[in-house]
Amino acid sequence: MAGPFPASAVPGIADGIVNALTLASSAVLHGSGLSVSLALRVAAVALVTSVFTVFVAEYGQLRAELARAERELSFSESGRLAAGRLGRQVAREAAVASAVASVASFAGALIPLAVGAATAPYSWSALVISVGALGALGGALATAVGGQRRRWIIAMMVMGVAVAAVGSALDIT
Amino acid sequence: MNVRRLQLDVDKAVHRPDLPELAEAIDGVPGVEAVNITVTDIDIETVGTEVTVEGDNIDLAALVQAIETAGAALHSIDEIVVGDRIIERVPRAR
Repeated sequence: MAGPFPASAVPGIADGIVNALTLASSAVLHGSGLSVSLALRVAAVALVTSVFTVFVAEYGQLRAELARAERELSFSESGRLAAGRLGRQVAREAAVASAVASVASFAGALIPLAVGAATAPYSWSALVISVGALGALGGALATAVGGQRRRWIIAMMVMGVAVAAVGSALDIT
Repeated sequence: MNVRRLQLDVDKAVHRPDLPELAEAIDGVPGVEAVNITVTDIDIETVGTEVTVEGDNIDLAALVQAIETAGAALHSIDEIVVGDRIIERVPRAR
């Protein structure tokens, strides 16, 4: 992403919105409605899963870069770069990315669900906001990577609707 | 042995450490007064550099350790100058 916006916030926001659609769509569509308590619980799930998955993904990728660098530099033993200053640096970067993604995921899940809870009996607004937010995210990504904005927006919104349909069918909450 | 100058062949990965980090690590070695790092070649994965270090009583073991801890690889020592003063290389007459 262009500018200072951390790269890990983008998948974090998307993850939060998808969690909201998956876990809360059945409550909205099958009549039990949204509450602030449900919104907070879903957001907490999004935060916790994001912390783990993003850290593992980032740290694994950065450690793989170090391992590749060791091969290119003809180090006689593996793990030397990871054992030193660079190892601590990549662990720190992975932790920061994980923290940013988890906060973004929490916000991405909480905001639409909180709006849905506040606008009861029109809780379906949470789904509309979530799908719309995915579309907006798709537009922003298209701008950042030089893609076709309309195609990205439509694709993200279609995926959002599909995720909501899956969540409704699973009827988790 | 009073090590006054060293010229080293040091390679590092393209992405990290960056040159300021490597220079900072070398500058922190006891006896080092000045550091010059010049990139000599670069490809997709690695950067080759020529490191020139000058000072007084440079701790050679600490210098090697600092380079490796910073995440670079010392491939060779290409020049070493020891003694009370620095003398330049005198090419052979024949």
